[in-house]
Amino acid sequence: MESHAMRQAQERIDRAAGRGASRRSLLKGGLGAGAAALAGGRLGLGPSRALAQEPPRFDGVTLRVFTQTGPLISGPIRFHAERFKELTGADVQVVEAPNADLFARAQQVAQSNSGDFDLLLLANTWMPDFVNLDYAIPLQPFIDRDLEDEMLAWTDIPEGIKRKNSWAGQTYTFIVDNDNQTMFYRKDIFDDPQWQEAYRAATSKDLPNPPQTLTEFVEVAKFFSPDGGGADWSSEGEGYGFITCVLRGQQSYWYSYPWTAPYSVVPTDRAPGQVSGIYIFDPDMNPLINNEGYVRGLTEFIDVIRGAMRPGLDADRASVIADMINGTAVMTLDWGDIGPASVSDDSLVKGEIGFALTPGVTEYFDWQTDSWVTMPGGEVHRTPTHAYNGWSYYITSQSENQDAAWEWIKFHGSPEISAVDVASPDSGYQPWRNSHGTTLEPWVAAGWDEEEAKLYIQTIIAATDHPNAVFDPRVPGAARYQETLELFTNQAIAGELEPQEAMDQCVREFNEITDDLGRQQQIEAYRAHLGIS
Amino acid sequence: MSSSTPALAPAAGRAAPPRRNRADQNAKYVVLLPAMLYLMLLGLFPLLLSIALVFSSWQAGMPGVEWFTGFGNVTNLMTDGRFWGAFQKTLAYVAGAAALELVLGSLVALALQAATRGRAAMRLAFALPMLLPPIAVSFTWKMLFDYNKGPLNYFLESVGLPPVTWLAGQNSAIISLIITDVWQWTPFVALATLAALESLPTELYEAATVDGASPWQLLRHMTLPLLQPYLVAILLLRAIDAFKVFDTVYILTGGGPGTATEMLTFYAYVAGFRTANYGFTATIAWAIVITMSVIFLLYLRAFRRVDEV
Repeated sequence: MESHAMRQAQERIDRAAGRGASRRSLLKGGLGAGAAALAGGRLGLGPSRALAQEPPRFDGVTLRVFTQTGPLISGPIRFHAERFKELTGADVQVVEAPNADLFARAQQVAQSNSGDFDLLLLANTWMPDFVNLDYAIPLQPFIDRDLEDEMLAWTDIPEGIKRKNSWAGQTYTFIVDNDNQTMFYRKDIFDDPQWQEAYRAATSKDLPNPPQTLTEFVEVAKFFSPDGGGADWSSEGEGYGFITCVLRGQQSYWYSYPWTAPYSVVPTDRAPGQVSGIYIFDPDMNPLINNEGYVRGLTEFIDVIRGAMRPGLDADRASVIADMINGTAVMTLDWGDIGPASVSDDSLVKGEIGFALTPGVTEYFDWQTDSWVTMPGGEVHRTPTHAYNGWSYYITSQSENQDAAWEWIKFHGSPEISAVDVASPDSGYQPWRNSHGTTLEPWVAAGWDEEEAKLYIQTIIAATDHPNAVFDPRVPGAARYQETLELFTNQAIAGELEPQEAMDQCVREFNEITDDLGRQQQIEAYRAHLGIS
Repeated sequence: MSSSTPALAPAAGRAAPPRRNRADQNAKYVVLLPAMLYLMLLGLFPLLLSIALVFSSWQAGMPGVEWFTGFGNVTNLMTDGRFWGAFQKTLAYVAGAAALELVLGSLVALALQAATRGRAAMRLAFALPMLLPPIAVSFTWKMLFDYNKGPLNYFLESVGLPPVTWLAGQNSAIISLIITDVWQWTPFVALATLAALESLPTELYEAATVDGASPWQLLRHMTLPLLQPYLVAILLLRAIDAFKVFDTVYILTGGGPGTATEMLTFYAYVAGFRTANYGFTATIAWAIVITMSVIFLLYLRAFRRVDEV
């Protein structure tokens, strides 16, 4: 299904470029002539070679892409396929599976070395599974060959994205979506002198604008909830200070990452091998999730759920976005989708959402010394979290059209095309190129204020390139660890187990999974994920 | 070739089938072969494969199946607290749902039998819930159970009662699932019981009434004993069906909160479709099959008693 909003955005861009806005002309002139004409020069790339040069022809070739059921994620593929066919002669077909079944289906595809697909657009975290099964081929030879290609625009890709694309020192994926978590807050509430005064009166502290630490975040969230002093802030009904996803099977454990990571991740410059992202496991695959730091983060997460979130414990991921854009929640820590949703037609808070890195901590638990460390000079230790890491293209080893597949990846991931996708609320993609912060026409066309769009994109890119950023562990059977962590996190949230007890049990399960899958293999894979030997 | 060729006829004794008949008989097998192959492929092959998987290892990240690795999956299952937890929850759910359906369904059946007008319309009205797809029923009840915007809590609050965390409480979540099942399947019990009621011999009732038995005595000493084998059969039928619950769990609670509503079928789904641990999934599936078979044997025994009656 093609995205109506994306098409509208594209047409607006085309109109802004002085072109006819018809679908046909858009496709004729294409995303190249539309978006690139706007982006050209400003990107510092000059005229796009992808659009100025004749791309190679792949007449008669049909590329088959396996991904999740649309319209999100798969929608942009269909949207751009027609233009790609005009440029190269190749057809692009999408084969979909529901998100909940995607991992098992992908495993079957890889284990059977299925020749049905040329490309996979799947989780970045599943990379080791596909690599170990020899189903995903290295992309480095293609990248080396096209390093100067402006459609690839290699230097435009942030280092954080390149690190997520690589495993064991080799690039296997091409990310077209940047899944990291940032803070979204109602800046109109925080900027309002009335609420600043009320907060000061209630707490004898200045209202942090926005909260810098998790402790501040919890205090503010509770203040703006029914039992706090600032309960009546919402004009849209009963308002709460915080919203998050708590339903099992709805990605709820990922929402605990921004709470547990700051307390349990050692700053990069003090980490072994000076690599970022030692989180969940130490380099020998010993789980770190039941140490004091992780459990403290989880306990604070549960505390804010119970004290500052709407009751009922029934919020799913859609509720998080809905409560923010319906104006019934002040803050959340989430993937970037709230940004585009906040300027959509359904939003009641257009221009009122602020963006910032997720809050940090002033002390963290050092798992190497088994002790708490206070940050010097009240410095805030932040660890932006990458959950799922991003939707990533893989080229399958069984594809007979690997060159055409790479050409599609370059086309879909080009600065011009991707700029349109990441600005659309209907794509499900978040900004991942540096140039997305300067190619603002698609954002303005989608209803954004230029400065706000810039801040939103910069926040996401800053989280991507942050030295302490942690990635979702990429080891074989990652989904099994994730399901287990979700179960015990959910049990703690539901009050079935105390946080420490839940994580102790989870550690036992983790170790059983590691032993089951082969501890040595898992250690090697995890070290490959960390980039250490 | 003609089947009446004398040279091919047996000389004496029992007459052999004419050649044409034998050809016909062979042709029958040839015609049946595609269907048999189809059944073998779609029925027997998965069955045998699933048995083989119980004793094999097939997980995410493995290049393929490691055949016949021993009893690891069975041992894991037997020592898996989550499996036994799911087993207990499934039994609690089945017992709660089936028992309530039996009581309510029987009452509805008695009321329907006593009704003198509009019985056909009432039967149709009662049958409607069980005609709906479980997915639609689940989404409907999800809206009804919504803590903040659901009508159930609205009514509770309007009469001064506190709202209930229907789908998020340790106990209330499984009760919510039972309510959903009872709403959808009580009509089945009612209609089946009504059919049984209508098959009871009327002359016994006439005789008892002449002897001065009160309606309560009729119910207690005649109707219920006569209905008992039917009710047992209906109960077991519902138990077998409730044991396989999946749709409502998937939509309403996702197995949560925690593991509060993680039934056996849902646990098998998680092991198979979320974590791609197929050997273990096959083992859970066979545990379900064995349990269901026991229930089914009980059902058959109950059914034999119905026949005897």
